[in-house]
Amino acid sequence: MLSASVKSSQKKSVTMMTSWVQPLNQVRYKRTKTKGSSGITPQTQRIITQLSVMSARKKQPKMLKLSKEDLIKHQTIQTAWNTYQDILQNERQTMLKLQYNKMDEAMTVLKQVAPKLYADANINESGKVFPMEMRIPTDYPPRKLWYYDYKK
Amino acid sequence: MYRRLIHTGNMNRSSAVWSDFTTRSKSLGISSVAIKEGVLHGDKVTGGPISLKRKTNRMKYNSPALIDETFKTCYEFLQDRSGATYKYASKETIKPASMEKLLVKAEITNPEVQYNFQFGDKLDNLPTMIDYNQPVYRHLGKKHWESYKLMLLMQRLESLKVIPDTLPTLKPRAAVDIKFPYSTGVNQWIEPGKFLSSGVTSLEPIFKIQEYELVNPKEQLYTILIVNPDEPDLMNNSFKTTLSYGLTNVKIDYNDNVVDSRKFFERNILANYLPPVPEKNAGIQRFAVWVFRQSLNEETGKCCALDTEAATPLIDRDNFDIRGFVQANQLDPIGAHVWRSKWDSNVNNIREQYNLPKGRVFSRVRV
Amino acid sequence: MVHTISSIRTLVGSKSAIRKFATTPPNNKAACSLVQPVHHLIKIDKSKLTTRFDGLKFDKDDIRSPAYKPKDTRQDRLKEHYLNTLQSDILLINYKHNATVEKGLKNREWDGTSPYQINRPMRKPKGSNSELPDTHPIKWNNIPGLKSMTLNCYVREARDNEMLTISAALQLQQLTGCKPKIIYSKSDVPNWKIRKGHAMGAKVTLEGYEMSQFLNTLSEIVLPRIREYKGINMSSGDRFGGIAFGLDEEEVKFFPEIDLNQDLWPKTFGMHINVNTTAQTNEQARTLVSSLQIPFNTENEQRM
Repeated sequence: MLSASVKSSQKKSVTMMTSWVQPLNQVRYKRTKTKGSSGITPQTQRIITQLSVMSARKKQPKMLKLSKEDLIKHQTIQTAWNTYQDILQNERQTMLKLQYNKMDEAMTVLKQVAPKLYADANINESGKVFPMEMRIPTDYPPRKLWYYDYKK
Repeated sequence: MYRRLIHTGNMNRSSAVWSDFTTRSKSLGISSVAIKEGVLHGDKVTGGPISLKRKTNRMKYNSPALIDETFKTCYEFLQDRSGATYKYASKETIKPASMEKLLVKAEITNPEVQYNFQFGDKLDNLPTMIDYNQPVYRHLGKKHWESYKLMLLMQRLESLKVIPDTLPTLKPRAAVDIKFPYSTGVNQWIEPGKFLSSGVTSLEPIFKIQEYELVNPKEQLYTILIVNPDEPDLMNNSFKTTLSYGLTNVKIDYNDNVVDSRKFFERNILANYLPPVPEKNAGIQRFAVWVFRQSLNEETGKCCALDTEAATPLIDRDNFDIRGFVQANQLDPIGAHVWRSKWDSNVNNIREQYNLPKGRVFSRVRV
Repeated sequence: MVHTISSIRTLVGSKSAIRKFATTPPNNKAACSLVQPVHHLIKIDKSKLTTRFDGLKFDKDDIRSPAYKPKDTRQDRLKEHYLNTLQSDILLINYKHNATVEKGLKNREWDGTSPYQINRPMRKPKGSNSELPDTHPIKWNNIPGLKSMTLNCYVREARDNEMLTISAALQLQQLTGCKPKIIYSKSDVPNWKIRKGHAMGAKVTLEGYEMSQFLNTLSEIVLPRIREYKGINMSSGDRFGGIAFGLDEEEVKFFPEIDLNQDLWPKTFGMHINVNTTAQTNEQARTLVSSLQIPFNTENEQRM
């Protein structure tokens, strides 16, 4: 019993020695498959694909590096554009204000001149719905506006 | 619609205001001809932006598409608006404060001004590039100062308890920088709250006071005090404030605003410089720099000068009451700075240089 | 020369308020955490004081900032239509002569009959649990407009299979081009077998160009193709300018993004569409939304 155990330990050490001395003929390549990739079910793979589609990492465009001159040009363009948008906004506001004031003026006059017409004109219209025919303009509008009886 | 607006603008335009330097300061334009050409007319001739030093980098660089053409349209659009502002500002009835605003509005969109300010040195400014006499550069400078240095200063003043230990509070209106330029010092602007060794601070600092507000530089006088609120007061088991340095009746300009020995004489000195010489184990000492505007006489427009000969004997340097001094002389605090000192092995040498008594050594005793 | 600190200690009472030399701790550190009083008059933005991330200090509309996003890069038909045509129409429709501010329900004072009422919070308004906002007459500066849209996709089956929320999020992303967020159940609902914190769907909030683009697709392509579509219910609305409607999973398939490759979409998800506007009432919101070619079920209203 004892001798056997000694023998086996000797044997073990010998095998260890040999394995240590022997040249390494197994080359370890870079791992190309993830651990247990074979075990991935198609459903999991599907989820992974879906997540990678949504991930923002690869969609971030590279940051622009502008030279000093171009940076100043860019800022000038941006300032001009913002200024111009402000002008347009002010113009629109002025027009709407004019419209409101004129409506107010007309109604005040109408109230004095024709009270019955005034009552008709002052009916509460809030909640009125726009007609479906009123489309958002396009460059190339279709001939027919709305397919009421559309069938696939 | 945009194009239409531009064209009508072209018809009405009398002259290109931004390229006319007969009445405008030279500092409102880019001084380098090549860079100016690159900014205003594109860099097709030079084969790349001049600001890139290496030729290969210039060749490799690609500008965004159509940037020059778009820039030209925008430049004319903004220039027309600036022209209109200048025209409005030429009326005589406008008050100086609103005139300042109009002049800022007329030039702030100018790409040349923006180039000068963004890429010029704002602290050690060249008046040919950044001229703080111009309202637009003062406005830009103030915004730049508020974006970082002002907040840093206030954070340091607050966390080191300079306010309220010396004066109750402060709303800074001018940037104050200090430097120890002489052979012993470090030749750089000091960040507020920094620890400085006694060798560095052995000779007096110079101050840079950058005004951003509309003041009259020919009349306005300034007082500068350096106080140390951490001098041990053993009689009361407390601390007392000492005056390390005092200057008064100093005049500065918007650009030429470094207060060094060229700017003042013997009669401007309230108290000669005594360098920080903290005693061993007395802890850290704060040195607070306070800059004040002296009050203006509203009738004459003159500034009330401090009579140094009368004031100096009244000042108790070793037990200085800064709040009382400020109130008595109607000083208006506009800026501050702070640095810290503690005992180091060089203190004894400094004491010898200034003929000061040997420093005490404190120690903790178990009771 | 050595001065002892302890000898001086007896001179001053230990409870005096002044900073004492002998007992000042070496680092001026307080023994417990204190909220220090503020003496400065300047607002300090700490994120601007660090020197570590200089790129993050730029404004978001500065091209040097990593968060920079170019704006106005293309024509926005819906916005232009709104500004050019709809604004003045809506102003006209909502005009009422001599209109005044209609006060909303507000908290009420106590009548003061009991001394216990002195420090009580005010009484809740009659007929409502909380205060309601005032309704201002529509003038040139408060014409109702679009604020944002929220697409909310709640997937009931996700309680058994959490992965379905990812598919729902992907669907929203494909339809809008914006990054959706996963939504989680807020509380336990034993009847529905839902536990708190479980992923239950996805949502996305659209603004600006993306919102216009989505609304255009919806009103020009999707809604016309729905068979026997009656329109949004006239009773829809949250009283403060929000209008909501829904699309079921079959109707979602009419979006061209899904319609063109239906093989990739074995399962689609219905969603709720919330349109947030600056309108103050349901009626104003309805007028605005109907102007964007979204049909309302007006027949039903007439019958009622």
